[in-house]
Amino acid sequence: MTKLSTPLHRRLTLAFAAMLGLCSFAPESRAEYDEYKVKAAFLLNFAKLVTWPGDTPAGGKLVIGLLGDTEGTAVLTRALEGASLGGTPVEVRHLTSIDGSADCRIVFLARDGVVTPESLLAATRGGRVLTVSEMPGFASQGGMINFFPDGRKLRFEINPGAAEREGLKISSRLLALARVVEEGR
Amino acid sequence: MVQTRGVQVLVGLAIVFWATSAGAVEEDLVAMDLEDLMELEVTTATKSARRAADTPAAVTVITHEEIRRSGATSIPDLLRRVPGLNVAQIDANRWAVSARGFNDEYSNKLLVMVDGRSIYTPLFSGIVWAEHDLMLEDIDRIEVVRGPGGTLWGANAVNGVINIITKTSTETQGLATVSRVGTHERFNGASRFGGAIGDNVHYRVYGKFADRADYESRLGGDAHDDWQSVRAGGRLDWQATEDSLVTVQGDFYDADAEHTIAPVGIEGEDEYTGGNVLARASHQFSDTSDMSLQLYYDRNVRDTPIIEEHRDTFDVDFQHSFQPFEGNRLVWGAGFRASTDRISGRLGLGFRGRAQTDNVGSFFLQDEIQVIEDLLSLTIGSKFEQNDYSGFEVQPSARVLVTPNDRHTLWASVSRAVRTPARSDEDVAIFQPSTTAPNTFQQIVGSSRFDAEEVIAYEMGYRTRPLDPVTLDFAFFINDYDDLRSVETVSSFPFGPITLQNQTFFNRLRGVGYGSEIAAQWAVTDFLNLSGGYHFTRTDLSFKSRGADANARDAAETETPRHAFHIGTRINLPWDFEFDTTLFWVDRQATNRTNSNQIDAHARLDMRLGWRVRENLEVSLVGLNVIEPQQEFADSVFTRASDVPRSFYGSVRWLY
Repeated sequence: MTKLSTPLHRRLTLAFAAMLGLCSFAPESRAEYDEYKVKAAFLLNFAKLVTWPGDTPAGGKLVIGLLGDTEGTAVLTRALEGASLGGTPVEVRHLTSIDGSADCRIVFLARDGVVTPESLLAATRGGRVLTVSEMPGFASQGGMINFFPDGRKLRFEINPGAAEREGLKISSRLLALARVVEEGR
Repeated sequence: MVQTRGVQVLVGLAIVFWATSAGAVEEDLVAMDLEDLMELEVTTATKSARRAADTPAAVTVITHEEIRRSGATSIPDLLRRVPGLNVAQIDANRWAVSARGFNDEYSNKLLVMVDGRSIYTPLFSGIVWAEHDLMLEDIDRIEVVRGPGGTLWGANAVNGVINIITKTSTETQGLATVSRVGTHERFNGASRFGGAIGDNVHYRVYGKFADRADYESRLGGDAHDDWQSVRAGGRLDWQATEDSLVTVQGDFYDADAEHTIAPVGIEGEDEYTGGNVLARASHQFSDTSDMSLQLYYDRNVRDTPIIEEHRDTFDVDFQHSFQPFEGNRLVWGAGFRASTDRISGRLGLGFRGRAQTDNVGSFFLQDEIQVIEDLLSLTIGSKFEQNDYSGFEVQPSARVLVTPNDRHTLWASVSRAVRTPARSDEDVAIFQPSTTAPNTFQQIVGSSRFDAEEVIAYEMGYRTRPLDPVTLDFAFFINDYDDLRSVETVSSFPFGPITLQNQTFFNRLRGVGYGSEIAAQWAVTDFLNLSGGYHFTRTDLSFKSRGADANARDAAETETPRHAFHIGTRINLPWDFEFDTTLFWVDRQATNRTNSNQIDAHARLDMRLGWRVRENLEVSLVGLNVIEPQQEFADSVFTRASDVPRSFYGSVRWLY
């Protein structure tokens, strides 16, 4: 039983022909990296260039909380697990709600995160947590660092006021590379 | 043998790919400076591992969180919340589950897999759900694709594919236990321990025991359908290199399920035992290229009042995806499956050929082309499959995806899929009183001339996020069915008041199925989340030349509810309390069987109150079907339906 109805068959043939045509015009490929592997590397760099009050993290671990159950957070987990920063091991925590976010040093809110930026910021207030996201407008809503795409490259914006309120010091090197934003803009 | 050579070629190919990848070492991104990182060009996750929102098909994902908060204790009960799926419980251990119509205990147009291992039985192309009493806490997600998935997954994925994906061992470290005690779940307990060997090897072992009580018979008294199941297994994940993962997993199960056989009401016990071992090696060559090789062996023994079946299945699958040009992703794969059975029928059921091996070999190729970057993509491909019953089958599909921006996704597709004949279609012999005509006995005998059933599906979908907290998902389909199975009377003999009919299987039905599915999610506030789903499904069949099976036609047209919806609320209360409810409603379903009653439209309400006492301790109280006891499905061919009662249980969940 392998008969195909003729119109579908013809449509498929056309589609194949179109595909071959498109392939021959496609440009050469360049080296590309997975967005979230790069974001993982960024997160570790942020940790390096931000100074928390009280210095060493509690429990001797750099706890990074991930909010959102996406392919992206899965890649982040794989990339960050087992990493360490100047001898401090990194611990990745999957957060299913804002509970526990205040116990992390860094919280990353994924694009399809389970909570809104406002509730994350409310939950981490006073917890001295570096809040990072990839949601447009996160930093101007009171978040600290936000990724945004610039063509095929990744950029980030920083809201220094939000960091200062929590007592976090952001190095001038980090600020120099960022687009600086203020609240309400 | 050709098949053996096929396997050798696969293994050979795998070794070649492995060897060529050994030299490629990816730069260590983590060690890079910020300045360098900012110069890197990135691929978005959607290109390598896509999000459900960007798939050109009707997809619903049940997340771990939804599983936890549903209160459901079985896979079919979880599936109730997927629009487009028809789920009805027949008795305490049996469900009828199908996608887009044709619902029956022996539904045969749905493919279900657990971690890449197919769990539908080649006996009748359906699922025996009581065999799959998984530890729900270790399930990461359930991906449900409505509509044909034949191009990637092959025969049987006619109206849907369900992928049950368990967590990796790295995500299930430490000790966890969950216990439930209640009215129907007399005791349901599971424990898991996850540990590590060195830095790169993680493992878990688990065990589960469940003892479920009888439901009530709608004729009064005990329904004799209690269900005990024991299940144990483990999984080991070895991160061989940064880009290579080797997984070995296996399960063993033993389930005893009481069974009241319709229409006569004979009581017996079904015993299901079995186990499986699966090994999978996957390697990521780059962000655009990966490969995996998977082998599994599955053993399954069913000892019931109507059949004794021993089945050994061996399966090998290879898959490779790469980017031949920028904006073009090619996936191809090949597989081989051999399933050997030993069957003897009982109680009016017979089988021609006591032992048999069925072989299926397949190859698929699929190309995803970015016609206009980030706006329009085209996915075309086909599966080519050779089976012992209907020979060579081609299952192509073409899909278009339009993503004008983050908030809107449009897709459309045309695809062909087949349901290839099962062992029972060819070799079964059933002697039974007619379920539709009085004083009539039927002798139904399988046919080697029975051919594959076919669908050509035209689908369209639209997903949107009109506001940040709201997502809406619409899907529409028209299924053009051909060569559907009909049971035709070949001859009939009157013996006084009794008539004996000789019947066999033909492909003499055709028709259309059409419908739509809507799913909605709304995160109203931090503490309130609403979700809902609605579907409409209709099937209209007609006879082909010399076809006359009005029963099969009427069953397809009327025995699946035409409308269904559900509304779920998840509320986070102060002091770490959670309150969740789901209301389900399904339309009436007619039945054309003499000994069964029509199922009226009915509602079902599930409720859960959970309290996270501490970070690692959760207690909850759950009520399932709390409105009233009710029958959800008419008598099946061999099974008397029970009333699904109200049931309540308390549960304690402890991690670490």
